[in-house]
Order: sequence, then C-alpha cells, then structure tokens
Amino acid sequence: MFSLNQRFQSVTNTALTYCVLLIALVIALTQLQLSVHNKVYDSIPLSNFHINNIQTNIRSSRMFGGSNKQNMKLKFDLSTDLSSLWTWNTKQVFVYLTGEYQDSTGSKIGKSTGKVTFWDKIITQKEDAVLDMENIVSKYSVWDKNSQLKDKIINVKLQWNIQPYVGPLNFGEIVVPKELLPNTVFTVPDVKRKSVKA
Amino acid sequence: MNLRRELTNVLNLCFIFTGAFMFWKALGIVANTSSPIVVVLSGSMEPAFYRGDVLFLWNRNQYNNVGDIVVYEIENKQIPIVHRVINEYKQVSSKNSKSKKKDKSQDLDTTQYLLTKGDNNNGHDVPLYGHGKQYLQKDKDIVGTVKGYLPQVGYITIWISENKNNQLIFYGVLGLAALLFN
Repeated sequence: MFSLNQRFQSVTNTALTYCVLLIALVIALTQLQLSVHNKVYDSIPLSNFHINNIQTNIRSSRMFGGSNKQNMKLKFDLSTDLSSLWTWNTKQVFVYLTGEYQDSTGSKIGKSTGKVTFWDKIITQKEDAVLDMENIVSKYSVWDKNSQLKDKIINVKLQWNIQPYVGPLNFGEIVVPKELLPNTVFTVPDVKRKSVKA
Repeated sequence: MNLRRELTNVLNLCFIFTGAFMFWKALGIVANTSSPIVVVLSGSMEPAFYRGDVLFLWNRNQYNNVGDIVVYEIENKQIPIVHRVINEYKQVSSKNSKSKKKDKSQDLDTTQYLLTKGDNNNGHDVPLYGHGKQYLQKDKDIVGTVKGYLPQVGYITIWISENKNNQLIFYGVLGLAALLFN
C-alpha cells in the first residue's frame, strides 16, 4: 500500500543507512591511508632546532603557577616541513613544542614528572606547513607544579595532531636527527637576580 | 480510531526512547564515561571544533598526554568544557589507606594534574576552574578524551535545547507523528 508516510520513512531510512555507511567508509579509508603512510608520518625530520636564549624570572600569580614560581620562556629557531601530513581528510594540523622532565630526587614518594607546552601553532593550509622560524619567543610561560624549574633537565619535542574533517584524531611526533639531539636537551638555569641600584 | 493501535504506537515510541537510552548507557560503560558523546557548545576550540560538532569520548586511559583534547566538568558547574591539555604534572604520593601491605609499590599513588587551554582562547583555563583551583585532576575532573569527530550533526540538539518554542515544536511533531501515522 502506498502512502506519503511510508515513502517518507523509506527515504529517511535509506538516507540514514547510506550516511552511516559513508562515514564508516571515510573513517576506514583515513585509517588505512594513515597505516600505509605511517612510515612517512613517523619519519618527518626536524631540519633545524636551536635554543638561543632561556629567560627565567620569578612570578607570583595564580596565572603563573602560584606564589614565588620560577617561570621560563625560550627563544628558539625551528624549521621542519609538515606538508606530508596533509591528505584529503586533514582539516588542520596542530603542532606543538613540548618539554618533558623528571624530578631528580631519588626517593619514590614525592617523585614527580612534568610535561609543558612552550609553543603551538594551528596550520589550516598545506601551503603554510613549511615551518622556518628564527628567534621565536615561546608562546607560554611555563612552571613546575611541585617545585622550581631550576636544574631540571628538559627534553624538547615537536609533536603534531591531525584534526580530520570526519573521523578519528591522530597524534605523532617529529623525529630529531642525531646531530640535533644535543640541541633538544637543556638544563634550566637559576633566575638571574637583578642588581639593586643604590 | 482504534485504541489498540494507538496504544501500540505509544509503546513503539517508548521502545525508541529506551533503545536510544540503552545504547547511550552501553556506550558509556564501554568508554567508562558519564557522557560518551558530546556536542560542542562554544567556539573556544575553533577551527578544530565548531558549535554543533559531535565528539566521541574515551575514558579508559590512566593518564592524559599533552596535546590531548579533553572534556572536563568542574564541580558545581553544569556545563562540560572541551579544551586541549597544555601542561601535565604527575606526582607520586603514599596512599592514604591504613592497610599495612608488605609490597610497598602498592602503597604508592600517582596523581596527574592537568592544565588546559582552548585553541582559540588567548590564555589558559585557570580562571575557569573556579576559586582556589589551579589544576584539573585526571581521575576527578576529566569526563573523557576526544577520540573521534563528526561535524555539525549535533546542531539539532543545540537548536532544540536553546529555545523553548523549538523544544515544544520538536516534541509535538514527534508525538503527533508517532500517534497519527503508522
């Protein structure tokens, strides 16, 4: 028996089924492409990285870690080419420079680790994916929650997150070549006391 | 008008609602979270997420990484917030439990503290956390980590929930359609 209601139901049913199938196909294709290209994604090299200056100061504010916290900013050079992260399902790439460290105290209780973000950038177009920056000041002032940053050995990494048009989010990191490895590790200096003028 | 048929239609409508609710709860159990699917309400993560985008959450991870996009809910504040983790601090402390186990490693507890920021915001989220709170705690405040993304599909829920008339229209049409047709 034909009726408007039945037609409406069958049309919406078919549309919904095909939508779900299409989304599943897109997700499967993205993951397949990602696994095929995995070697490419996981071997994007850092072509230059150098920390030119480490600025530290003491801040006392809730926005900077609380009272008397050593805050730090970096001034660095960075270049790498992220354009191979772009496929048909890449809406944006979020690239971020992180620093990882461990507390040097020996005892297990009270031991702490931390990971902070110095800088990040949203890239929405493949044409902008070649990063070549000199003497950039890091975006965020960073601190340690549990103690002061000084004397901590910080390991710097450049990481990325692909935001798709539809489907799963993907994460990874840029490979640091051997000759640049020493540039990505540094020890945080103590705060330089300002000389008091008489 | 056939009473038996109308009652069957009402029952069918109930089945649809309970079915949807069961699916939602089952997904919540699998992902270990109170809301496995959320709709983005603000533009603070643009251009990654816009209003009305649907996010799928997962909460079986013990810790979060820097760069993860998480949904968190502050106590006494109803609205869940979707932002990115920018700083992460882990702290080992002895457990509060008074049981004297010989295995000392069992008595250690690692708490992870997170600082978040919206990609589209200028500063981090400390002002959003409320009085005296400077960090989120992974095990207490995090609802889930964003794993999957569907654009714009959730806009209908915003359309319905942000306008009382729309709400009435939606439920009215739904009820009428279920009773009249079939």
